Amino acid sequence: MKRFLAVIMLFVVMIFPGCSSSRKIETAAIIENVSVTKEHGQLYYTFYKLSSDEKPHKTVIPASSFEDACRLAKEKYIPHLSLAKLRLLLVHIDLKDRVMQDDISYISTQTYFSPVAYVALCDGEALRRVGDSPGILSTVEEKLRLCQKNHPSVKLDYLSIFNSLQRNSTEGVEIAYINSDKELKTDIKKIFRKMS
Amino acid sequence: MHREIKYSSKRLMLTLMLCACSVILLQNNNVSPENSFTVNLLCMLGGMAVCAVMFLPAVILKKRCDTDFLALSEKITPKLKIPLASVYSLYFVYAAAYFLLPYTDMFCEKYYPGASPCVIGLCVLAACVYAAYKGANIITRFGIFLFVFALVTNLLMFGGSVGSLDFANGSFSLETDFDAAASTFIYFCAPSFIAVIYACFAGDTENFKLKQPFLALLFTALKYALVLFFVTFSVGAYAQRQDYQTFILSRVAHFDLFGGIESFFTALATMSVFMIISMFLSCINKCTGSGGVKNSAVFSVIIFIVSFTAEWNNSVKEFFTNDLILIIFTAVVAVLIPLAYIFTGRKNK
Amino acid sequence: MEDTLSKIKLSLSKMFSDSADLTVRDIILKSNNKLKGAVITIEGLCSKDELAQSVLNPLMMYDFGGQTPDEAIETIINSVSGSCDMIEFNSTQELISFLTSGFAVIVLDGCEKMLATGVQGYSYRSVSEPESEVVQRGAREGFTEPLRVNMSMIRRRIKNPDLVFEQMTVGTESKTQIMICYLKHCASPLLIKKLKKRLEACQLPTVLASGYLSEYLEDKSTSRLFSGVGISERPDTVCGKLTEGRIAVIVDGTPAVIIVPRLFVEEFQGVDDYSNRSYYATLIRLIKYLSFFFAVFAPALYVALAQFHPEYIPTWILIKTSESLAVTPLPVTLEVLLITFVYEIMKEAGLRIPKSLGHAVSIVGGLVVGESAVNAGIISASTLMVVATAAICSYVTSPLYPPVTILRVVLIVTAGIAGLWGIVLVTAVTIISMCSKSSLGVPYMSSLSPFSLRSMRDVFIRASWKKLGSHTIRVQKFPETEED
Repeated sequence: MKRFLAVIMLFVVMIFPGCSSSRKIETAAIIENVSVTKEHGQLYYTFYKLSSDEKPHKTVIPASSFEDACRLAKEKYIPHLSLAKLRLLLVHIDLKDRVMQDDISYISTQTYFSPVAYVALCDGEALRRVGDSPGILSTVEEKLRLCQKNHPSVKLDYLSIFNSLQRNSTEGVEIAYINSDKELKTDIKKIFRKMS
Repeated sequence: MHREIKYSSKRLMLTLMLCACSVILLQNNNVSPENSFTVNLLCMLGGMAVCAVMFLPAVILKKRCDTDFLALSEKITPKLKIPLASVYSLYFVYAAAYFLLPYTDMFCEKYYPGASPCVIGLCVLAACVYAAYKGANIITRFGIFLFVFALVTNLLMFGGSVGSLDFANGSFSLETDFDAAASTFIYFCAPSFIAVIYACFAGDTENFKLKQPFLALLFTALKYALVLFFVTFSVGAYAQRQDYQTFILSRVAHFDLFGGIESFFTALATMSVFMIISMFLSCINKCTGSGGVKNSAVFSVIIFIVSFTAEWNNSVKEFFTNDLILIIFTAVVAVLIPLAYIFTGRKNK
Repeated sequence: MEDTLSKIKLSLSKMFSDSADLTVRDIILKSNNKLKGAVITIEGLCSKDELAQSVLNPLMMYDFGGQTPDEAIETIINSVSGSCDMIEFNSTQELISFLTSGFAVIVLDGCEKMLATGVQGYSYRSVSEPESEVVQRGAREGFTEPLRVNMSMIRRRIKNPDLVFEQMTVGTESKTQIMICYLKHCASPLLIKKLKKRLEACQLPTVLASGYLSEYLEDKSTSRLFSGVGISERPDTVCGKLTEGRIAVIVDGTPAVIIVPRLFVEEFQGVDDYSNRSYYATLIRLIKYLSFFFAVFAPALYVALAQFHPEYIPTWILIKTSESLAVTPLPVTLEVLLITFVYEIMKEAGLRIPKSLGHAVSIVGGLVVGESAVNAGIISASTLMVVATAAICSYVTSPLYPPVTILRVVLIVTAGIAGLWGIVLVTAVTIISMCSKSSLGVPYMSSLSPFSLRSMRDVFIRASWKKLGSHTIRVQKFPETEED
């Protein structure tokens, strides 16, 4: 019995991928925020890495979709990319129809995303502030929670946005919009299901 | 091998209930997305009724003669011991592969994409051989700890999903497609495998009461109903985009910043699969009349070879994860063969 | 019949190889026929004052007249010696046994019978509070080395004629005396029979501590990781266990008394629990269970999370942990293992070095090694904190220290190889192994699994004395206890 178990254990230790394929904490690039903007007709996905530094660590990746951006990020820019702790996906207001649905649709097919991460629309200035100011992420989250408290019909996370889009083709789905009129403010915008 | 002393029937039922509950942990889109919650619920209740029917022969034997089917068959037809042991061992190998394959798939697909399914299967089987060597009584003792863990995990999973509940995600209508409902019904008959385990060990237990198997099935139905409810109304259409919907439910569950409930879920699934396969190997030990580690080891190697082949050959995998084959096989070993013995015994009287 | 004295003296000097501590005091009794005799002792085991007062002086003073040696022996028992403990015997084996137990043996020439008088007077450690089982409220008395003193401590607490001490000898060379102690109306005769059978089967040449016997008392083919044999140095603990139907084995020369059967839940019960208020005792007990889980699982979970699942760590800890681990050269698994081993080394050193150096070791260990290693970036502060907290937690249930340490190391290695999944699988196998264990036929995990609702009043909670005292649950009454 003991010999049998010993052989099994030895075999397992030898062939188990173990430490080699693990997502080590010290090397993992844990992304907590992604923003999507458009300049000169090109979509840019900015990945904000979790860090204690004053200035946010960001990587800007030009890509045609979130799926493409994730693939490129892993291949070229951030080899130890981890999206499991993604808390916020910020999309430029102008891209709400083009990006929003495709990206949320992609996210819903992936295992490693948390389905309850927040999704919001932003104006250009708000996105710039998120990129420059430390600690603004928590402020944005607070604003979003407050928005949902005041408007219960607003869908904040991509689980509820996806589900609402799936079942509602005519009325549209209310989602949060962050604008930067002097200070960050939340508003409501409607998006409609793209007819295939 | 430990000397088997009589143990509590209640504990065996608790273990069987946990085994039955784990079926839904490993479900991979077997519940049709086209059905409404009500239809799924009705299919599930139908499945549970079938499970109850499968229990009947073993319960009759226990109630009337305080014995199990294996002991009875050995007494009535000692010459048929080897053919019967072969049929039952074959069933347990099939059933073990039926649970091991979706588990390794779910683990490697969802939880830890870097791992090899074969290695995961091998480790689980090695642990199961050890548990089977200790015997069914010890496995049922382990069941008490698993029950507590399952309770905590389910509380976390359902409690954490309450925040995402949205009744607009699903419907209560009774309209359905017959094929979809039929496949869901067949899927929910799968827990009847516990009747076969019960048929093997009923004779080793004491303080049996008729209500025990029905309570076990009732709690299993309750757990299934809760999973169906939360998958339909908390995860909604999102669940249909990925495999292993119950796993997605555990991903969705969260308490503000505290998430990661899928770890509890995977732990529960691992321990449940470990317990189910250990029980199967114990059953094989009992069928073949061997208490040592040799038989369990040989059969675990067979299960491993089956799983390994299934990983490479899709048609083998389809065969071993087919709900209908499992149900028919279960009906044969849990109902037909025992009933034949019961009627033969009556005639001889 | 003549010259028996010379024969005995000769055989003794042969057996003891003229050992220097064998003392033979020749005497001639006051009698008509000048009876010759000797008082034989082993130096250091007898009290010289008592020997002189109750044996030698009366012997020399008494006039035996014309008595034969056999009559003289009877007279010594009845009228001469003032010793309370006088035993007549005639075999050489018994002679050796009495001498080595501190008796003075009176031999008269021409008489086959010999007389052992209890004048034991060796020096021993006085009764003091056991260092390993300190309590806040309760007796400050602990067992000491001599068997008889330990017996008296139990007898003083249970003034009941049902309390039985049965003597046995173990160790083919050391001939160590042991006492099997139980309450006749509480202990199961079957358990006593089993215990005696196992003790008789023990063929060790020497038994110098109770630990020598523990392994022989374990049930066969059950897990050896956890011990099914309890040890206590407290007479109040032993008495409490005796009333629950357990059996104690007192080994001469050691203050550690064996108690069987020992169950897992007992490791979390302390004497203080029963002295404190029940609500507070319950809180302490829950803390003990939590500490046990933390001691076993914390380092392994830390390794698994850091190595495989960083996303499960809350953000505010994640940043600090990842930054501190990023500057250390070793992988987190090795780092945790290294600190665990260094801690074990320091613990062993701390136990063995003289007390006067203890502070120096603490300073070197805690400040120099720990802090310097963190400052130098060899180990991370978070790793050190997790391992240190786990180490402290393991002392909350100190009897479980050995299995906890082994399990911790196994789990760390498993977590390093297979992450949380590995921890789950090893835990499942460990639980199976614990559930299969029994102690004298009583399932080791009794109360929890097999579950016993009635016993729950003293497992996770400590019910009030009104409830506990209303009915004592005997250990042999636990479900699935083997009955043959």
